[in-house]
Amino acid sequence: MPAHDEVHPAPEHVRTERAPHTGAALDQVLQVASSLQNAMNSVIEGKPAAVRTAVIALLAEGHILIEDVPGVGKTMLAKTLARCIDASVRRVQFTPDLLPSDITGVSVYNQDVRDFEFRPGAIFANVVVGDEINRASPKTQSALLESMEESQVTVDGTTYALPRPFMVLATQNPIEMEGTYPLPEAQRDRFMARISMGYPSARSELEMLDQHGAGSPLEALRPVTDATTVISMIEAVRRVHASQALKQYVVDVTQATRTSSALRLGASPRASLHLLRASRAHAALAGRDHVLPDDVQSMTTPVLAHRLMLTGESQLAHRSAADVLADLLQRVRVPAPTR
Amino acid sequence: MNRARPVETLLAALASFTVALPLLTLFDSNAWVRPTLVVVATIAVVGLVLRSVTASALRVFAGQLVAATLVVSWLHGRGHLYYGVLPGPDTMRTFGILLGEAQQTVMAFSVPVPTERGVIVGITMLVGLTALATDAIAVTLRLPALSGLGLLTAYLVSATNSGEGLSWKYFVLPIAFWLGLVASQGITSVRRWGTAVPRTADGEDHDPVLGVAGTARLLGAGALALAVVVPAVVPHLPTTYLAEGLGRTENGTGGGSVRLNTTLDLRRSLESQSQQPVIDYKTSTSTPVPLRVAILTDYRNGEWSTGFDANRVVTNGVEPAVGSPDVKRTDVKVEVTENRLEAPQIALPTPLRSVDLDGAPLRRNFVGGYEVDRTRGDYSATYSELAPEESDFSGNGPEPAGSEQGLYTELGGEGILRLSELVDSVVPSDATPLETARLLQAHFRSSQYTYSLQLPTPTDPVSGRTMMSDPLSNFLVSRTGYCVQFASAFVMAARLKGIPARMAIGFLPGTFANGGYTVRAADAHAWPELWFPDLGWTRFEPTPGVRAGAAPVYSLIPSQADPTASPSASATTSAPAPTASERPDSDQGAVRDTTSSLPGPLSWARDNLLTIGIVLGIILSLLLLPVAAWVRRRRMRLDARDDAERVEAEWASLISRLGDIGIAPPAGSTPGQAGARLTHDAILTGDSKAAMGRIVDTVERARYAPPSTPIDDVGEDAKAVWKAAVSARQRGDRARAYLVPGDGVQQWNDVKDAALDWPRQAWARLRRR
Repeated sequence: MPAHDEVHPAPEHVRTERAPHTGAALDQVLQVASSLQNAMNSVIEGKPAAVRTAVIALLAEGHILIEDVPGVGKTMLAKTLARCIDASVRRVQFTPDLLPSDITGVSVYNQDVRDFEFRPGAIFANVVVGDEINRASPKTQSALLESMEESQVTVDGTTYALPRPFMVLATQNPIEMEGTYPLPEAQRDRFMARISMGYPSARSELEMLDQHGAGSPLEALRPVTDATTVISMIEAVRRVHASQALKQYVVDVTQATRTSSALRLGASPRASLHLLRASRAHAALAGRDHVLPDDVQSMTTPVLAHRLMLTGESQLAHRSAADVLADLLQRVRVPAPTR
Repeated sequence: MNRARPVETLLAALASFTVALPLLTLFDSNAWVRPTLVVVATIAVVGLVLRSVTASALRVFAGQLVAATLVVSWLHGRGHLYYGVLPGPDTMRTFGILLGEAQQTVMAFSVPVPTERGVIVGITMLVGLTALATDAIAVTLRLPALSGLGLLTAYLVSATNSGEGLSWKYFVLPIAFWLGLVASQGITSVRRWGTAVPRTADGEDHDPVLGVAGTARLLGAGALALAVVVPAVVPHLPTTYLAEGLGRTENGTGGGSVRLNTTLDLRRSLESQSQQPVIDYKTSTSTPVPLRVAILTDYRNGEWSTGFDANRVVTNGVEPAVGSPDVKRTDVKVEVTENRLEAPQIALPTPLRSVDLDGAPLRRNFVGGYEVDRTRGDYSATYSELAPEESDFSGNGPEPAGSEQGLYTELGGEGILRLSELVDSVVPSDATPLETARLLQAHFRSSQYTYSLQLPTPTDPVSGRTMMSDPLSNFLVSRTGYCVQFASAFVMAARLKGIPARMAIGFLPGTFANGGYTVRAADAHAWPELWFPDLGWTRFEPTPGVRAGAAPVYSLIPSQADPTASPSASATTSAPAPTASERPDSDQGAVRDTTSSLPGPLSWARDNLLTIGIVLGIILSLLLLPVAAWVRRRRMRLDARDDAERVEAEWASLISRLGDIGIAPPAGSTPGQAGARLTHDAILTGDSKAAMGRIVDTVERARYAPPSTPIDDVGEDAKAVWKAAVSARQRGDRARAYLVPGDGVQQWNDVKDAALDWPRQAWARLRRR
């Protein structure tokens, strides 16, 4: 992105004295992330925003909840992201009879060594795709969500660390409620961002028909990056600068959700954390070494919307959480640095 | 809500009553005040009661009318009532007679009018009607703004008949009550809107009035201030008279004309000087002389008058020129365009050469005073401007007419002895008549004397008793007076030294405006004339102070007139004679003399001092906000401790300035969004758009980038953006942006807050101790 290089001529000496590799690392983030997005966009037609959010969550070490009606490409998105990274990928189809041990793993008695041996479950992978997560029992869901939060699994008193990078892409179908266990709000809070795919545009759908007619484009997809690169990218994103005024803004936004009269439940402190991390990744994707309020605003809806509960009044008024957030963003002042 | 509306009733009653207060200046007693108050109060109370009982406006009004009629009858119609209670035809007849008498009184008397019974009845009825109308319209029908018309009519009747400017307080009181009436009614209306007023951001319900009350208060106060200030700028308009009666000047017999009193009483203080124009004239000279109306020769018991001998009309036509033909003289023409001086008086310059009265005769009396048969609206006269040499004063020529009878040498009154002592101390015994006159004039014009229209009453330093017996002594002791006292003392002093002298009365040259001079009644003046054989009657000017006439050049001591002359010339003076420019209370005439040679603009500036002052004041007040804004922006820039704060200050001031031309970013916008919005709204293109982009980038870096990031100066870019944005706006918007900048308002608010906060903090500190 040459335009950004012009706009932000951050000289070398600044970068070297603070974070030696920020410049180079940022370039790498930019380059890899754009090729990642290109690759994914070639499969997921006409949904660059969803793709971008997925990549941001990857770089911000967050998990993603993909929520939409059937057949719009939820699983496709998850699988595409997994395929683009040269890393271990597991896909779990959640069903009511899925057991927690199927997720976390189980200790099996090994006759040869005469001891219990840990058989890792589906969670032990860099990218885990949990399909139709609301179909599993709450017990199984909790097992997944606990490991998501802690990046580790404890079975029979032994703790096993999950590989890095670690990302869960869960899909959920909000329409068929029969025999499902929808994620409670507290559990949804653990996902950094929610993606609603939405129907593709007519043209995108037409293109999709052309491409998918020949065969799955997923087959032709080659990984554009690997786990180590992703880890270094995550490190680079962590070093993106967030000023005091910006942190104040993040807090102001989440506070506003808690005091808003349109919301029954506001955003948690974990939401603030996720929002800042996602904003960092967003800034890095723009090639910037610092976060702007604009980054925060772009990430507010994907990061916060699924955590909020609307009041009955707002629901009756057919307002969505995204509407309420847009209203809040217009009201919350962007803090200027105080003297 | 209370249907009786007590607050509004009270305000309406007060407005109706105060609107009549200017009548206080027209009548000699305030006997009308009490019955008027009773009637106004009755109307208010009856209205209050009836409104709480019935909702019908007609019934309330009828009730008030009946009550007011009854009260007026009880107050003024006693003895003409049925059973002593009810008014009947007899009462009406009596009131008719009384009102007829009142009209006669008003027609016959000038201000102050005697307060007869009929006058009181008339005033009571007029004010009662005003109160009735105001209460009915403003309170019962709830149309307070409309009631202002009735109040204004009543105010015009009471205020415009005094013939003089009225104190602003008479205006402020009724207007304040009326505004209060409008405000209280408005508040009630706004409260009823209720839900139409948007809720504030914090979601709490405030009184909806609060939102508009500040603006309304500002508008009301501003209008009131304007109404008081504007009359200071516009000229005094001619007076209109109630029934062609009130407001005439003393001795007047017809509307608007003026007559000078030809007896001068030295005891009277001069008060209430009328600004009524008397004469408008044009002349070619820049140093016009006073216009003489009459000559007074006899001084008896503190009063000047024209003796019988002197007043005898001897002939028609202009007095032949007297004195030596060698004296340098220039003929100057005076064209009177508007004359309101009543016949037989006529104001003419002296010494008169010729006069054009359009064929009408000009009578001359024994001592050289002129009279006409009837008032002439316009006439012209030519007089000689004398420029006598020193030697011209020493000739031994003829005595003036009437000197045989002792008209100009007669001494009288008790103060002569005191005056003689004074003259001896001021004038050396061997002084020539000219030296005598000059020294005397210099003495009276010195700082030892005070010009005042108010005559003090001196007390004896030993006994502490009031010395009122003789006005001349009074003046010589108190050394305070106006032209009559100065001129009298001067005439008497000259006569003591054997110089024939007399008193002239007339008008000062007046004020110059629009190419001509206007003489007002307040320009009336008295001055001495001394006889010098080669010159004839010569004017001197012993009166100091701002309202006195010009001192002629020949009357000044040479060292005064010529600063280069050796000081020994005035060494003979026993009393120190400061020069004209040093004199602290140097009079208007002398100023006119010394500055008349100034170039045009300066003299224009002098003539229009008030206008210039007002214009300067307006300009300065217009500059209050822009300068405050400039100071604020500059302070913010200078107070910035680092580049980031400087950029922040530039950004804040740019946002504020763009806000002044109506371009404002939304409340919750980031710098980037604000920049985009401003670029769009201000229609920035090309360089200015790029400049805005650079500003936004710099602001973002200053706020959010790591602390060590270098930050450019955006001052130039901000200027470019502002110029581009403001040039695309209409002139009105631009003017408003420059004249009423938000930064300026903010700055004054800060000043106000600091000023209000200071005593609070001081109090807190005190309490802590």
